[in-house]
Amino acid sequence: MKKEPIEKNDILDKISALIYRKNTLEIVIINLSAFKKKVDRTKKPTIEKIKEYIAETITNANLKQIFMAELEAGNFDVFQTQTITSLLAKLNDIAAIGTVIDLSLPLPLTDTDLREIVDQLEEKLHTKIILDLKIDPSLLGGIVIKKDNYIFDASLKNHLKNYENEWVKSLHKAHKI
Amino acid sequence: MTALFFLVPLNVLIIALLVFLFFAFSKEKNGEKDIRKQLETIKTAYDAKAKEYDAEIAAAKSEADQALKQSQEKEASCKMVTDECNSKMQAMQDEMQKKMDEVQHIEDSLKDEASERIKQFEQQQKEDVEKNMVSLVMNVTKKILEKTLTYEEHKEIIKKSIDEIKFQD
Repeated sequence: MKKEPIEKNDILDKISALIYRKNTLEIVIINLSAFKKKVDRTKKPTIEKIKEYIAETITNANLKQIFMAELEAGNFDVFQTQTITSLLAKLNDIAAIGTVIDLSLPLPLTDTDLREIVDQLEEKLHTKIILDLKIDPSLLGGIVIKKDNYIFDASLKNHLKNYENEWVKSLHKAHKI
Repeated sequence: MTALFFLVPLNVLIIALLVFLFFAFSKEKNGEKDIRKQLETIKTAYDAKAKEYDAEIAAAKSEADQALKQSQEKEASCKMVTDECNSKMQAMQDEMQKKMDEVQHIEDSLKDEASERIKQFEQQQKEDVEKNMVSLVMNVTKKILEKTLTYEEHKEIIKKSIDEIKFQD
């Protein structure tokens, strides 16, 4: 049974959905550029060649998974120079127009949970979000978000610091009285 | 004859008496002269001695006057020195009193300052202890939070934090 060919936009959406982390975006662009170079050099790449190129150039696990799935589905159009170029253009657009947010977390979250956070933020900002993720266990809990000059510190560390300051202030007041 | 007998010795006696008187008178006169002379000599000697004594007395008096004058001068000088000494002593006593007052004032100030510093130090120590207690409580809280928060609780806190965000356009 012949599988339905996947539309270019589907693969674009699939890949762009992966991109919610700044370093992922950079790695995916680098991977795709290297992959495109390999494909450009070959006139008619065979499945084996494409598999070889994927193994050589794609380091991002999710992208590799998508590509392998497309290959197994017989959707060779995805690996055409034109499609890869479109993909790169789309990713460069994301890099250009996406809002980069520095997000500090106390512990690493799973991709699913990170995706949820990104969805939540995209809903609030009405724009594509790219996270520059940092793990800082000293935060204890909560998050710290930096966007341009805006800093939102909702970490437990900050809350505790505020409580501590309030406590010390109230002690000072008590001493003055 | 008898009368003659009696008259001749009487005459002789009278004559003898007269001679005696003459001699006696003469002798007395000579004695008086001598005495006078002696008196004169004595007087002269007395006058000389008196003069000498007067001179000595005058010299002594002059010397005594001079000594008295010197003594008075010395007394006056001594009085002046004493007055000056007294005045200086009084000034020194005043100065000493002033210095003692100053020392007392400084001592009082130092006592006050020390007392104030002790009070401040105690206050600071108290505040530091309380601050350390607050810090200790916070550190314990952090340790407990670090150990007790589960992954799901972390996720919940993060989601709630994002809900609180209000971005500026």
